[in-house]
Amino acid sequence: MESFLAQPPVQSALAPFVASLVLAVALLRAPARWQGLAIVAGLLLAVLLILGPALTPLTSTRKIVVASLGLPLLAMALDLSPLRWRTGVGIVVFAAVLALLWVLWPVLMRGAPGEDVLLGGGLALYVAALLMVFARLGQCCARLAGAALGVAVATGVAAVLAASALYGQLAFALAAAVGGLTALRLWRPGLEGGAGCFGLGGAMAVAVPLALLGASASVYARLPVMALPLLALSPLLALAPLATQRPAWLRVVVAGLLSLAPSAGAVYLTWQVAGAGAAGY
Amino acid sequence: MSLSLSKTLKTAAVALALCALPAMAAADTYTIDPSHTYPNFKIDHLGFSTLHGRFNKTTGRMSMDRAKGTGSVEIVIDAASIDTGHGKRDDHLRSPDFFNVMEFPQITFTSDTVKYVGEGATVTGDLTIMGVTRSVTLEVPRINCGTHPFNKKEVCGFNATTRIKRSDFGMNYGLPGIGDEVSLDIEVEAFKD
Repeated sequence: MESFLAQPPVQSALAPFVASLVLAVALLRAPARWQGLAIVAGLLLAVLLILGPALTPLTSTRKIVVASLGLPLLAMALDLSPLRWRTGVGIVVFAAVLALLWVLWPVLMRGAPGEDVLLGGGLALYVAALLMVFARLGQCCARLAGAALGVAVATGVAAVLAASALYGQLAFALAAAVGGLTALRLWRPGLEGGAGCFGLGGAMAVAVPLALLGASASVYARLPVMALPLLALSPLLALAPLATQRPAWLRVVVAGLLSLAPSAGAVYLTWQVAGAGAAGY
Repeated sequence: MSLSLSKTLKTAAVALALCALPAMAAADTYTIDPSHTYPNFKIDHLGFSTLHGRFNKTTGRMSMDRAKGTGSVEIVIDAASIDTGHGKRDDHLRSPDFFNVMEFPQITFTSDTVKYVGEGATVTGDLTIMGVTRSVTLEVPRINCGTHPFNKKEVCGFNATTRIKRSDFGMNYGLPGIGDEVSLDIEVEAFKD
C-alpha cells in the first residue's frame, strides 16, 4: 500500500481526484458556495501524500501549502459574510500578496533593496492579477472549471520543466481536484447549470496555489519570469463570451482550450530556457 | 651570598618560564584549501544503484592542539555547487524538491568537541542543512600533517565520514524510492595560518 501511495500518478492525480469527488458528493445538498471545499480536500490529500503531515521545518514549500489551504477558507468565510463581493476579493488578494512575501522572504532579505522591490512588486502584481481574474471567473462556473484545468496543467508542466517536480505534482494535484468536482457537477445536470458555481472560496482554492506556485517557481526553480504574464493571461481568455445554451461540458472544454493557448506559450518559453528540467533524466 | 641567591633566583625564574611555555602556546590554526576540500556523498537511487555526488565549493577554518587535546572545525558549503555529473539532475537537486538553494544557500558544520583517537579523531558538531541543525559525529581515521612539497607551506589533511538521514533535515521528497540514508565522506586539506 505504501509503495502504491508513493507513486506520483497516485499522489498527484488519482488521490486528489477521488478525495475531491467524495467530498463533492458529500456536499451535494449544501449551498454551491461550499463546493470549493472539495478542491481544498483534494489538494490537502495530495500534500499529505507528497510532503507528509509535518509543518516543520517551515520551508517556502510548506508556506505555500499553508497559504493554499488557508486562504480559500478565508475566502469562503468572506463569501458567506455580509461583506460586498469586491471587498472580499480585495481582502483575499491582500492576504495572498502578504503570503507571497512570506514565502519569498529569505530571498528578498538577501537581495539589494532596489532588487527586492522590483522582484517582490512584480510577483505581487502577478499574484493579484491571477486572483482577480479567477475571482471574476468564479461567477461563471464552466469558465472557472475550464480555466482552472488549463492553467493548472500548464503550471504543472512548466514547473517540471523548471526543475521542480514537487511544484509540478502540486499543480497537477490541483487540476485533478478541480476535475473531481467538475466531473460530479457535469454528471448531475440541473444542479446550477451543470458545472456549478464555486463561489469566491472555490475560485480562490484554485487561484491561490496556482499564483504562489508560479511566482515561487520563478524564484526558487528555473521558471523564466517572462512566463508569468503568459500564465496570468491564460484565465483571461476564458472570459470570452461562451454561448450559455451550449452543454456545460462543452463550455468547460472551450474555456480550457482558450486558456491553454497562452499557457502553452509559457510552457514553450520555459522549455527554451530551462530545457527538460526534472523530466530530463 | 647575595650574588649566589640572586643567580639562583634568576635560574629558577628561567626554568619556570620554560615550563610554562607549552601551556601558553596557542592552538595551530588552519584555513581550508577550497581546491582540495570536497564534501562527497552517496545515496541509494531507486534500489538500482548508488548515486555519487559532491559539493564543489567549500570554505572554512580549523584549529588543532594535540598537546591539549583540543581543536575546532568550521566548514561552510555552497549548496548550489552540488555536482552529480548531470546538469539536469543538479538543477533538480538545487530546486525546492531537495536542497532549495535559493532559500538555503549554505550548508554548515561547526564542531562542538574534538577527541583525538590514535592518529585520528572523532569530531562532534552541528550540521545545518536547509535551516535544520542536527548533531553529527564525524570519524577521522587519520590526520596527516606535513610540509607541502611545492609551496612549502605546512598543511594538514584528513577524510571525515558519517551517515545522516536526509529526512532528519526536512528533505522528504522522493522517499522511499530515493534513499533516506546518505553517506558523507569529506576530504579536507588546510594550510596553516
